[in-house]
Amino acid sequence: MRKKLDHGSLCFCPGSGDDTRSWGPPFVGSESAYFLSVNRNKKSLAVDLKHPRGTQIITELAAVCDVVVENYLPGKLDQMGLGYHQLSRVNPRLVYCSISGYGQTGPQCRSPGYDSIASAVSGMMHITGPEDGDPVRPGVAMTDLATGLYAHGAIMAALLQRQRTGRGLHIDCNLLSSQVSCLSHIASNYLNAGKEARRWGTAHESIVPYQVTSNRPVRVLDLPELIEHPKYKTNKLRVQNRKDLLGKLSDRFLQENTADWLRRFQGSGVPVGPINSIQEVFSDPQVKHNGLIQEMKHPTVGRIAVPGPAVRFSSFAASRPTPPPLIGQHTVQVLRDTLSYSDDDIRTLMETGAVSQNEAS
Amino acid sequence: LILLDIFLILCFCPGSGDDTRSWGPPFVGSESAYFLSVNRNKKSLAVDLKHPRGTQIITELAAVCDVVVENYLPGKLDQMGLGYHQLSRVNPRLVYCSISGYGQTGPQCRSPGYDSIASAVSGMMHITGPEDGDPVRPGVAMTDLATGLYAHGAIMAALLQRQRTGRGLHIDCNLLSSQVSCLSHIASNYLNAGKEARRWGTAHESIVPYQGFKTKDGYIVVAAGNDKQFVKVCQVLDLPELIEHPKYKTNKLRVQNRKDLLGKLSDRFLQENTADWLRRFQGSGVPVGPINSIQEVFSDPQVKHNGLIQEMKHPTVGRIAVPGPAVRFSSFAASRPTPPPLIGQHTVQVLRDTLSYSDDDIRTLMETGAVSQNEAS
Repeated sequence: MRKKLDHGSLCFCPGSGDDTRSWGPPFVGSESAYFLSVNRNKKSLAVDLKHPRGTQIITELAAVCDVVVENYLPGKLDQMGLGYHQLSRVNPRLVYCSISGYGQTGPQCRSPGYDSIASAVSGMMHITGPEDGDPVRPGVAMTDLATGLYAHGAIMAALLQRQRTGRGLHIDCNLLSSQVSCLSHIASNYLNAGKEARRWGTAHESIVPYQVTSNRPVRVLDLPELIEHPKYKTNKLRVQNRKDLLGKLSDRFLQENTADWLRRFQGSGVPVGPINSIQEVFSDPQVKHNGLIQEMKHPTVGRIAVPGPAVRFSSFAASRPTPPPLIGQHTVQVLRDTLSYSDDDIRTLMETGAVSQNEAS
Repeated sequence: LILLDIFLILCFCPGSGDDTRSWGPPFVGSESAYFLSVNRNKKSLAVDLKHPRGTQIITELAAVCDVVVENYLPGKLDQMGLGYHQLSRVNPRLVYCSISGYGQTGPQCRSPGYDSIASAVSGMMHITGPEDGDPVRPGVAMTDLATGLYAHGAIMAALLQRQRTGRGLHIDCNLLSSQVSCLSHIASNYLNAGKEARRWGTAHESIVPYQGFKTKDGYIVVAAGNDKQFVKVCQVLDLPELIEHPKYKTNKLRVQNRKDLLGKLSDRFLQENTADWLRRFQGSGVPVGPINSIQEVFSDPQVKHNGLIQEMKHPTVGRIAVPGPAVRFSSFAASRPTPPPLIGQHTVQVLRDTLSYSDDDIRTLMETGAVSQNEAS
């Protein structure tokens, strides 16, 4: 989503704004590191959606925009007159993307959704964790992130489609569907072979060796007797005899340091890697080469850095990022430049509390 | 890509084809459940890329296609005359998406890449696992999947851009960048506050309570993301003394005093069954959920409602099912899916219909081994 937003706007009820602004420590100045990480290239317009002029402003913005993205409980924006049906009447070319916990309709559609819950309900937690231990969450909100990526791709596809049809449409993205869709082979095992999944630690059910300490037995480990061993010749056999094989490989790996093993595996064609801490990740030369540390100047906090864009293009470089906005930092700018409001109109709106402008910018 | 009437062609060296065809058990007939799960709506053309006619066929396909997606080690396809520079000369409108382990250039670019390794190198494993235990992998290849999603979005963006410029371009997607990019707030904590990450089990470093709790008969996950929701949690658990407690009033305080608070909540959750707790939380506005097994996932009424079980008929295996599409659109329904192809199932069809080859040409190519056709279709 980050790379598509040349001038996305964030709109919030005046007050505290987005919950994630308070998710910390750590805080960097007034802002949570959490909020800073995922909000660059956005502008913040602080508007009161309970104020009739507030919803009118959103409607006017929708009339001149290409895309609306919202994550309210299904039905909430309809009640406020800002649902797809209403806004598409104002702008038939509008691409309206709804992101929810479970979907726009259905038995669970009114349940609030968070990554953690979706991860649990969709089977992701059930399959993540040590072999003989309790389920755990992926260490970062992969369900949220996958949903954002699905939404981005869907919005792009809808804009492409609009080139042909001249019309916008409504997109339904939700955490449950994203994560269930991502179950891929785990789901296929169950749907086609009736096989329930379980936790495997760092290992893989259907590929041996595919885990933290090991790979195809090769001369690197100096275990030549395993190479032609009848019990380990094909993946199918290695899966069948996994306990034996992994026992032998594990014993051998314990004998040397990670750095030594990495050196020995170089040039072998076998995928290997260390389990890097976050500091090690951001010291990695390839990470730096890929431009994955993106620095920028924040109006109150000063220098901040966020992970860079995951994708690079040969014929356009991502424009320089603008920092995550303070709440209501661009209210006046958006009203004036995007909606052509006069200074008097803007002053009236601020006095009535329909909108607010952050002083610190 | 399916929505836009683009049909995807898988091209393989005749022989075993895609590694994942052999990743099992379980196998369903001749096909691994693994392969079946991610290959619908594709056609399979089996072509020998070491044969000069083989690379010529790929070049001819590139001339009439919109998008090429490849996951060879960087440099490999250039050597075969099928790199971006070569194919874009034949088709300047071509969008060419390369997917690799680490990127097209750089110190690691020639290392083979797999999800598991990328997950380790990118910090994902370091942050996943029990609080006092070893790192683990996410139970499904989320790094692979995220990279695929990034690639899809990037291809769509490139096609949009092409509407304006009339030209294609080269896209660099890789597992390392995708997963590091997805570190989001974990990365931000380190890059902006120097804070190293650690494992939290089901919990969250910056939000309390936001984790799984053991119940009498299983687990329940609760996600109280703000102060209002925390009050509701206390009400449902019948622990009113926690509501105005000075140590737990804001998220910041709850994070500071997490051990105390979580101890009290854990004791209470142990006293009832998961189903009872779920019932009590209904209508409270607090996000809660059970930790579902895969069977429970596919019995869930909302999952069915969202069309997340997609059935189709496979030519040799018969009825198969895969998880349905994650996204739905108001103005076009995804067309009925075609099953994952057998290797070389559509060689003749693609050569004949897409490249207008004559029957004689096709027969010659098959005799010389440049291509092969699967008999079973």
